[in-house]
Amino acid sequence: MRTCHFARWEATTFSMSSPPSLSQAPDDAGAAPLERDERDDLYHDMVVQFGPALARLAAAYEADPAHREDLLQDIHLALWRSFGSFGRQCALRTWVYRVAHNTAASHVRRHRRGRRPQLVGLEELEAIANDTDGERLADAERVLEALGALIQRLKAIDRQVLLLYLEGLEVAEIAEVVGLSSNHVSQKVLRTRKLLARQFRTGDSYADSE
Amino acid sequence: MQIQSDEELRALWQGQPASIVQFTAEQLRGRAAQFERQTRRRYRRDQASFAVAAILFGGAMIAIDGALMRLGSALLLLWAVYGIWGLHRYARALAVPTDASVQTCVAFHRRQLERQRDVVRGWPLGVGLAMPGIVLVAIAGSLGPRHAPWSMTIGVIGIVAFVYLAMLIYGQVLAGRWQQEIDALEANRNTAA
Repeated sequence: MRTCHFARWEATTFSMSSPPSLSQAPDDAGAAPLERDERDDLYHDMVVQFGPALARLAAAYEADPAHREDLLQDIHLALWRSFGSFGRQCALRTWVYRVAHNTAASHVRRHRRGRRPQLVGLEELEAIANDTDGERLADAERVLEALGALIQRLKAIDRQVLLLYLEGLEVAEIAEVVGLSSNHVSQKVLRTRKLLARQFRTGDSYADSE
Repeated sequence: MQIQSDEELRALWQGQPASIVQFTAEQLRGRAAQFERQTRRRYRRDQASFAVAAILFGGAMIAIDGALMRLGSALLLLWAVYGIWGLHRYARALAVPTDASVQTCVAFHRRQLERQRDVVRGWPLGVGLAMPGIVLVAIAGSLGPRHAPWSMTIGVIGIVAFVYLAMLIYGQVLAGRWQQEIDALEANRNTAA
């Protein structure tokens, strides 16, 4: 699997010698930046392929519908701008999820001051989570509601791993998006699966997979 | 509803109704331009505030008699100039992630935390540099032709010192929290490395 290399853009973006110019940064970067029309086409393709996933991601990061819409717009904008420097250094899916998660994590950090939710890691959540009452999760909507609530309690990295797992990404892909080793991600995925099994009474046996 | 497997849960998650949002290229360009305008406006407004302070203290340095008052104004002028430079340097920390695709999520997250911590760590120096000037100007007020009562001068210096001290402590606490998050992230990263 190819990996993304961004060192050149990083150096350009964080030069301290000029005032912030937000529109220029993406266009300065990458070996073969896309033309304007190509960027628009890529954005269109991205929406077709990942539009619903981005909407789910925004919903998982932001419970408030009004803020959720803002977040979704921010993600779309960040993606569209980032495509200016997308030289197919990595798979489109990796790029899209990385930009989307980073934008969402920033959004959460910006809006955290007022609400200050207590975020926990997978390990802590495992320790405090109660087995869910099967009656309460009588329909799909409630399962999703409970799943959403669980996701929003997690710290950024664990939240990213869980969401990417739910979106169907493989361990190696998750590792590439998040930036952890495949080993570490597979441990996290295992914990995630245990947590989901405990919360939602899934029938998988995870002890065997360790 | 009984969830039998992870696959079922994943299918449920992926199959939930989600409205697809798509913007036209014009809308996105418009939004990008709007965002940039907002950021520039905020940046210029803050710069202008320091510039006005620099002009006022520069003017005071020339117009008002008394060595102490002039020295105090000169120090505050230097502080305002430093503020302009500091804003220029840190303005990038205020920006929405233009670098969202630059790095993996962990690296991006860490850098954001470091920026927040560094901004808070910069408070004591940023505000502290104004302190000598304020103290000198306050003392000059009592020694000058208007002879402001010393109790007032001491009161002003006391309040300023108290606010500074409170800010110092609060800044330390906040920086400590950001550092804890950075350490936790690093520990998380190294756990299975």
